[in-house]
Amino acid sequence: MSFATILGGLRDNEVRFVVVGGLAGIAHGSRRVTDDVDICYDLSGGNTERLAALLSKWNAYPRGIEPDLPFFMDARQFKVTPIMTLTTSEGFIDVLDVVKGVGDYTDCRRRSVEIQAFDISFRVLDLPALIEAKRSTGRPKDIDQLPELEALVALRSGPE
Amino acid sequence: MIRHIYAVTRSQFAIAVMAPEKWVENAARLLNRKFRYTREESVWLGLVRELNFEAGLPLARAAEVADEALGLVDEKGEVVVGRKEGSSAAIVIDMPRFRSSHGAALSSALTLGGTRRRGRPRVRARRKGAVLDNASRYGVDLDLLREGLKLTVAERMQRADENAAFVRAMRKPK
Repeated sequence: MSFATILGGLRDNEVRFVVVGGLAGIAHGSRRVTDDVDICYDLSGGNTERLAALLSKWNAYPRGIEPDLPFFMDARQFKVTPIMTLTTSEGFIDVLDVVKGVGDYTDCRRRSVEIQAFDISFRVLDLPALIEAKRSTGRPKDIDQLPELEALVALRSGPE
Repeated sequence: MIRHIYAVTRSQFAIAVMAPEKWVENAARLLNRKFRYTREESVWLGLVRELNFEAGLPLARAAEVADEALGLVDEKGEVVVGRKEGSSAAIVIDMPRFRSSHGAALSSALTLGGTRRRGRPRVRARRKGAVLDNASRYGVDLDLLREGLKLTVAERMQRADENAAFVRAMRKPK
Protein backbone atom coordinates (compact mmCIF):
# COMPACT_ATOMS: atom_id res chain seq x y z
CA MET A 1 0.00 0.00 0.00
CA SER A 2 1.77 3.12 -1.21
CA PHE A 3 1.84 5.82 -3.85
CA ALA A 4 4.53 3.75 -5.56
CA THR A 5 2.26 0.71 -5.94
CA ILE A 6 -0.67 2.81 -7.13
CA LEU A 7 1.32 4.77 -9.71
CA GLY A 8 3.32 1.68 -10.72
CA GLY A 9 0.08 -0.29 -11.13
CA LEU A 10 -1.43 2.39 -13.32
CA ARG A 11 1.69 2.46 -15.51
CA ASP A 12 1.96 -1.33 -15.73
CA ASN A 13 -1.65 -1.58 -16.82
CA GLU A 14 -1.17 1.11 -19.45
CA VAL A 15 -3.71 3.48 -17.91
CA ARG A 16 -3.34 7.01 -19.31
CA PHE A 17 -3.52 9.51 -16.49
CA VAL A 18 -2.17 12.78 -15.11
CA VAL A 19 -1.57 13.17 -11.38
CA VAL A 20 -3.49 16.17 -10.09
CA GLY A 21 -4.20 17.45 -6.55
CA GLY A 22 -1.99 17.27 -3.48
CA LEU A 23 0.56 14.81 -4.82
CA ALA A 24 1.16 17.01 -7.86
CA GLY A 25 1.77 19.89 -5.44
CA ILE A 26 4.31 17.81 -3.54
CA ALA A 27 6.12 17.00 -6.78
CA HIS A 28 6.52 20.76 -7.26
CA GLY A 29 7.76 21.32 -3.71
CA SER A 30 4.67 21.63 -1.51
CA ARG A 31 5.24 20.51 2.08
CA ARG A 32 1.65 19.42 2.64
CA VAL A 33 0.91 15.85 3.60
CA THR A 34 -1.55 13.87 1.54
CA ASP A 35 -2.64 10.28 1.72
CA ASP A 36 -4.44 9.96 -1.58
CA VAL A 37 -3.56 9.96 -5.25
CA ASP A 38 -5.79 12.14 -7.45
CA ILE A 39 -5.72 11.37 -11.13
CA CYS A 40 -7.43 12.74 -14.22
CA TYR A 41 -7.90 9.85 -16.65
CA ASP A 42 -8.42 9.59 -20.38
CA LEU A 43 -11.91 8.52 -21.42
CA SER A 44 -10.88 7.24 -24.84
CA GLY A 45 -9.37 4.13 -26.38
CA GLY A 46 -10.32 1.56 -23.75
CA ASN A 47 -8.55 3.50 -21.01
CA THR A 48 -11.60 3.56 -18.74
CA GLU A 49 -11.96 -0.20 -19.08
CA ARG A 50 -8.31 -0.74 -18.11
CA LEU A 51 -8.65 1.62 -15.15
CA ALA A 52 -11.87 -0.07 -14.00
CA ALA A 53 -10.29 -3.53 -14.25
CA LEU A 54 -7.30 -2.42 -12.19
CA LEU A 55 -9.46 -0.75 -9.54
CA SER A 56 -11.64 -3.84 -9.39
CA LYS A 57 -8.50 -5.96 -8.78
CA TRP A 58 -7.65 -3.58 -5.95
CA ASN A 59 -11.14 -4.02 -4.43
CA ALA A 60 -12.05 -0.36 -4.90
CA TYR A 61 -14.98 0.89 -2.85
CA PRO A 62 -16.39 4.41 -2.35
CA ARG A 63 -14.61 6.13 0.50
CA GLY A 64 -16.47 7.33 3.59
CA ILE A 65 -19.75 5.46 3.16
CA GLU A 66 -21.00 2.42 4.99
CA PRO A 67 -19.49 -0.89 3.90
CA ASP A 68 -21.34 -3.74 2.21
CA LEU A 69 -23.47 -1.65 -0.14
CA PRO A 70 -23.65 -3.03 -3.68
CA PHE A 71 -20.78 -1.59 -5.69
CA PHE A 72 -19.71 -2.47 -9.22
CA MET A 73 -16.30 -1.36 -10.41
CA ASP A 74 -16.57 -1.50 -14.17
CA ALA A 75 -16.70 0.79 -17.18
CA ARG A 76 -20.46 1.16 -16.80
CA GLN A 77 -19.97 2.61 -13.32
CA PHE A 78 -17.55 5.17 -14.78
CA LYS A 79 -20.21 6.27 -17.25
CA VAL A 80 -22.65 7.10 -14.44
CA THR A 81 -20.14 8.42 -11.90
CA PRO A 82 -17.03 9.57 -13.78
CA ILE A 83 -15.69 11.16 -10.59
CA MET A 84 -15.09 8.74 -7.74
CA THR A 85 -13.30 8.92 -4.41
CA LEU A 86 -12.19 5.40 -3.62
CA THR A 87 -10.46 3.34 -1.02
CA THR A 88 -8.49 0.38 -2.40
CA SER A 89 -6.14 -2.32 -1.20
CA GLU A 90 -3.31 -0.05 -2.36
CA GLY A 91 -4.55 3.15 -0.71
CA PHE A 92 -6.89 6.04 -1.44
CA ILE A 93 -7.35 7.11 -5.03
CA ASP A 94 -9.61 9.79 -6.49
CA VAL A 95 -10.40 9.45 -10.18
CA LEU A 96 -11.66 12.42 -12.19
CA ASP A 97 -12.65 12.82 -15.82
CA VAL A 98 -12.47 16.61 -15.56
CA VAL A 99 -10.47 18.91 -13.29
CA LYS A 100 -12.25 22.15 -12.46
CA GLY A 101 -10.43 25.17 -13.83
CA VAL A 102 -8.25 23.06 -16.13
CA GLY A 103 -10.41 20.67 -18.14
CA ASP A 104 -10.37 17.06 -19.24
CA TYR A 105 -7.47 14.66 -19.67
CA THR A 106 -6.30 16.32 -22.89
CA ASP A 107 -6.19 19.73 -21.18
CA CYS A 108 -4.49 18.28 -18.10
CA ARG A 109 -1.91 16.49 -20.21
CA ARG A 110 -1.19 19.67 -22.17
CA ARG A 111 -0.63 21.48 -18.88
CA SER A 112 1.47 18.80 -17.22
CA VAL A 113 5.11 17.87 -16.86
CA GLU A 114 6.68 14.45 -16.90
CA ILE A 115 8.49 13.43 -13.75
CA GLN A 116 10.52 10.45 -12.59
CA ALA A 117 9.80 8.93 -9.20
CA PHE A 118 9.45 5.44 -7.73
CA ASP A 119 11.50 4.18 -10.71
CA ILE A 120 8.78 5.11 -13.17
CA SER A 121 7.89 8.17 -15.16
CA PHE A 122 4.46 9.79 -15.19
CA ARG A 123 2.88 13.17 -15.71
CA VAL A 124 1.78 15.64 -13.04
CA LEU A 125 -0.20 18.84 -13.50
CA ASP A 126 2.11 21.87 -13.75
CA LEU A 127 2.13 24.44 -10.98
CA PRO A 128 0.10 27.24 -12.68
CA ALA A 129 -2.61 24.73 -13.69
CA LEU A 130 -2.65 23.30 -10.18
CA ILE A 131 -3.17 26.79 -8.78
CA GLU A 132 -6.06 27.38 -11.18
CA ALA A 133 -7.61 24.05 -10.22
CA LYS A 134 -7.37 24.82 -6.51
CA ARG A 135 -8.78 28.30 -7.02
CA SER A 136 -11.66 26.98 -9.10
CA THR A 137 -12.95 24.46 -6.57
CA GLY A 138 -13.60 27.26 -4.07
CA ARG A 139 -13.24 24.84 -1.16
CA PRO A 140 -11.53 26.39 1.88
CA LYS A 141 -9.20 23.37 2.01
CA ASP A 142 -7.97 24.14 -1.51
CA ILE A 143 -7.96 27.93 -1.11
CA ASP A 144 -5.74 27.49 1.97
CA GLN A 145 -3.09 25.92 -0.22
CA LEU A 146 -2.86 28.85 -2.63
CA PRO A 147 -0.33 30.99 -0.69
CA GLU A 148 2.08 28.04 -0.52
CA LEU A 149 1.67 27.15 -4.21
CA GLU A 150 2.04 30.80 -5.26
CA ALA A 151 5.16 31.05 -3.11
CA LEU A 152 6.54 27.99 -4.89
CA VAL A 153 6.02 29.69 -8.25
CA ALA A 154 7.88 32.72 -6.92
CA LEU A 155 10.72 30.69 -5.40
CA ARG A 156 11.15 28.61 -8.53
CA SER A 157 11.22 31.61 -10.82
CA GLY A 158 14.79 32.56 -9.95
CA PRO A 159 16.73 34.62 -7.44
CA GLU A 160 14.64 36.42 -4.82
CA MET B 1 -11.82 7.66 8.68
CA ILE B 2 -15.31 6.33 8.12
CA ARG B 3 -18.07 8.94 8.16
CA HIS B 4 -21.58 7.68 8.25
CA ILE B 5 -23.16 10.98 9.19
CA TYR B 6 -24.70 12.59 6.18
CA ALA B 7 -25.45 16.22 6.87
CA VAL B 8 -24.65 17.69 3.50
CA THR B 9 -24.79 21.06 1.81
CA ARG B 10 -26.96 21.78 -1.20
CA SER B 11 -24.05 21.35 -3.60
CA GLN B 12 -23.06 18.05 -1.98
CA PHE B 13 -26.67 16.92 -2.14
CA ALA B 14 -26.76 17.65 -5.88
CA ILE B 15 -23.56 15.63 -6.41
CA ALA B 16 -25.09 12.72 -4.48
CA VAL B 17 -28.25 12.97 -6.59
CA MET B 18 -26.07 13.04 -9.73
CA ALA B 19 -27.81 16.17 -10.97
CA PRO B 20 -27.04 19.86 -11.35
CA GLU B 21 -28.08 22.05 -8.41
CA LYS B 22 -30.58 23.83 -10.63
CA TRP B 23 -32.32 20.53 -11.40
CA VAL B 24 -32.57 19.79 -7.66
CA GLU B 25 -34.11 23.23 -7.04
CA ASN B 26 -36.60 22.81 -9.87
CA ALA B 27 -37.52 19.29 -8.79
CA ALA B 28 -38.18 20.49 -5.24
CA ARG B 29 -40.47 23.20 -6.57
CA LEU B 30 -42.31 20.99 -9.06
CA LEU B 31 -42.75 18.17 -6.55
CA ASN B 32 -43.67 20.63 -3.82
CA ARG B 33 -41.03 19.21 -1.51
CA LYS B 34 -38.66 20.87 0.91
CA PHE B 35 -35.44 18.89 1.11
CA ARG B 36 -33.34 18.68 4.25
CA TYR B 37 -30.43 17.28 2.25
CA THR B 38 -30.31 13.94 4.02
CA ARG B 39 -28.84 10.72 2.71
CA GLU B 40 -32.28 9.10 2.37
CA GLU B 41 -33.56 12.04 0.36
CA SER B 42 -30.53 11.82 -1.91
CA VAL B 43 -31.29 8.15 -2.58
CA TRP B 44 -34.91 8.95 -3.37
CA LEU B 45 -34.22 11.99 -5.52
CA GLY B 46 -31.33 10.18 -7.22
CA LEU B 47 -33.75 7.49 -8.32
CA VAL B 48 -36.32 10.08 -9.36
CA ARG B 49 -33.62 11.77 -11.43
CA GLU B 50 -32.64 8.49 -13.07
CA LEU B 51 -36.25 7.65 -13.92
CA ASN B 52 -36.88 11.18 -15.19
CA PHE B 53 -33.63 11.61 -17.09
CA GLU B 54 -32.85 8.10 -18.32
CA ALA B 55 -36.31 6.51 -18.60
CA GLY B 56 -38.07 9.72 -19.64
CA LEU B 57 -40.81 9.57 -17.02
CA PRO B 58 -42.47 12.87 -16.11
CA LEU B 59 -41.18 14.08 -12.77
CA ALA B 60 -44.36 13.39 -10.78
CA ARG B 61 -44.62 9.86 -12.19
CA ALA B 62 -40.92 9.28 -11.55
CA ALA B 63 -41.50 10.26 -7.91
CA GLU B 64 -44.35 7.75 -7.59
CA VAL B 65 -42.29 4.97 -9.14
CA ALA B 66 -39.30 5.80 -6.91
CA ASP B 67 -41.56 5.62 -3.85
CA GLU B 68 -42.78 2.24 -4.98
CA ALA B 69 -39.29 0.88 -5.74
CA LEU B 70 -37.74 2.04 -2.48
CA GLY B 71 -40.74 0.81 -0.52
CA LEU B 72 -40.18 -2.77 -1.62
CA VAL B 73 -38.78 -4.96 1.12
CA ASP B 74 -36.51 -6.91 -1.20
CA GLU B 75 -34.52 -4.65 -3.47
CA LYS B 76 -31.53 -6.94 -3.78
CA GLY B 77 -32.03 -7.53 -7.49
CA GLU B 78 -34.06 -6.06 -10.29
CA VAL B 79 -37.43 -4.74 -9.21
CA VAL B 80 -40.47 -4.40 -11.43
CA VAL B 81 -42.50 -1.29 -10.64
CA GLY B 82 -44.91 1.19 -12.17
CA ARG B 83 -47.37 -1.36 -13.51
CA LYS B 84 -50.80 0.20 -13.81
CA GLU B 85 -53.92 -1.90 -13.53
CA GLY B 86 -54.75 -3.50 -16.84
CA SER B 87 -51.48 -2.44 -18.40
CA SER B 88 -48.93 -4.86 -19.82
CA ALA B 89 -46.05 -2.42 -19.44
CA ALA B 90 -43.88 -1.96 -16.35
CA ILE B 91 -40.48 -0.55 -15.41
CA VAL B 92 -37.53 -2.71 -14.40
CA ILE B 93 -34.97 -1.08 -12.10
CA ASP B 94 -31.61 -2.69 -11.41
CA MET B 95 -31.47 -1.67 -7.74
CA PRO B 96 -27.95 -2.97 -6.94
CA ARG B 97 -26.63 -0.99 -9.90
CA PHE B 98 -28.49 2.10 -8.75
CA ARG B 99 -27.20 1.67 -5.18
CA SER B 100 -23.68 1.29 -6.58
CA SER B 101 -23.92 4.55 -8.52
CA HIS B 102 -25.49 6.38 -5.63
CA GLY B 103 -22.82 5.14 -3.21
CA ALA B 104 -20.05 6.38 -5.50
CA ALA B 105 -21.79 9.73 -5.98
CA LEU B 106 -22.38 10.15 -2.24
CA SER B 107 -18.73 9.35 -1.53
CA SER B 108 -17.62 12.03 -4.02
CA ALA B 109 -20.11 14.48 -2.53
CA LEU B 110 -18.75 13.94 0.98
CA THR B 111 -15.09 14.01 -0.06
CA LEU B 112 -15.05 16.63 -2.79
CA GLY B 113 -18.21 18.66 -2.19
CA GLY B 114 -17.73 20.59 1.02
CA THR B 115 -18.54 24.19 1.64
CA ARG B 116 -17.43 26.76 -0.84
CA ARG B 117 -16.38 30.34 -0.57
CA ARG B 118 -18.53 32.91 -2.27
CA GLY B 119 -16.99 33.60 -5.64
CA ARG B 120 -13.47 32.93 -6.66
CA PRO B 121 -10.59 34.52 -4.79
CA ARG B 122 -9.36 37.55 -6.63
CA VAL B 123 -6.28 37.02 -8.76
CA ARG B 124 -3.91 39.94 -8.64
CA ALA B 125 -0.63 40.33 -10.39
CA ARG B 126 1.82 40.77 -7.54
CA ARG B 127 5.49 41.28 -7.20
CA LYS B 128 7.47 38.22 -6.22
CA GLY B 129 8.37 39.78 -2.87
CA ALA B 130 4.71 40.51 -2.14
CA VAL B 131 3.75 36.92 -2.94
CA LEU B 132 6.37 35.60 -0.54
CA ASP B 133 5.38 38.11 2.16
CA ASN B 134 1.76 37.10 1.79
CA ALA B 135 2.64 33.39 2.07
CA SER B 136 4.78 34.07 5.10
CA ARG B 137 1.99 36.04 6.80
CA TYR B 138 -0.34 33.16 6.01
CA GLY B 139 1.94 30.83 7.98
CA VAL B 140 3.87 29.20 5.17
CA ASP B 141 7.41 28.36 6.29
CA LEU B 142 9.47 29.68 3.39
CA ASP B 143 12.71 28.18 4.71
CA LEU B 144 11.05 24.78 4.70
CA LEU B 145 9.92 25.32 1.13
CA ARG B 146 13.43 26.37 0.09
CA GLU B 147 14.85 23.23 1.72
CA GLY B 148 12.26 21.09 -0.08
CA LEU B 149 13.16 22.60 -3.42
CA LYS B 150 16.75 21.45 -2.95
CA LEU B 151 15.54 17.85 -3.10
CA THR B 152 14.95 16.06 -6.37
CA VAL B 153 11.35 15.34 -7.41
CA ALA B 154 11.95 11.64 -6.72
CA GLU B 155 13.15 12.45 -3.19
CA ARG B 156 10.10 14.65 -2.54
CA MET B 157 7.75 11.92 -3.75
CA GLN B 158 9.54 9.31 -1.66
CA ARG B 159 9.14 11.53 1.39
CA ALA B 160 5.45 12.03 0.58
CA ASP B 161 5.00 8.26 0.43
CA GLU B 162 6.65 7.85 3.83
CA ASN B 163 4.47 10.60 5.32
CA ALA B 164 1.34 8.96 3.91
CA ALA B 165 2.37 5.61 5.42
CA PHE B 166 2.75 7.35 8.77
CA VAL B 167 -0.71 8.92 8.46
CA ARG B 168 -2.23 5.55 7.57
CA ALA B 169 -0.51 3.90 10.54
CA MET B 170 -1.85 6.59 12.88
CA ARG B 171 -5.36 6.09 11.53
CA LYS B 172 -5.33 2.33 12.01
CA PRO B 173 -7.54 1.30 14.92
CA LYS B 174 -5.47 -0.12 17.79
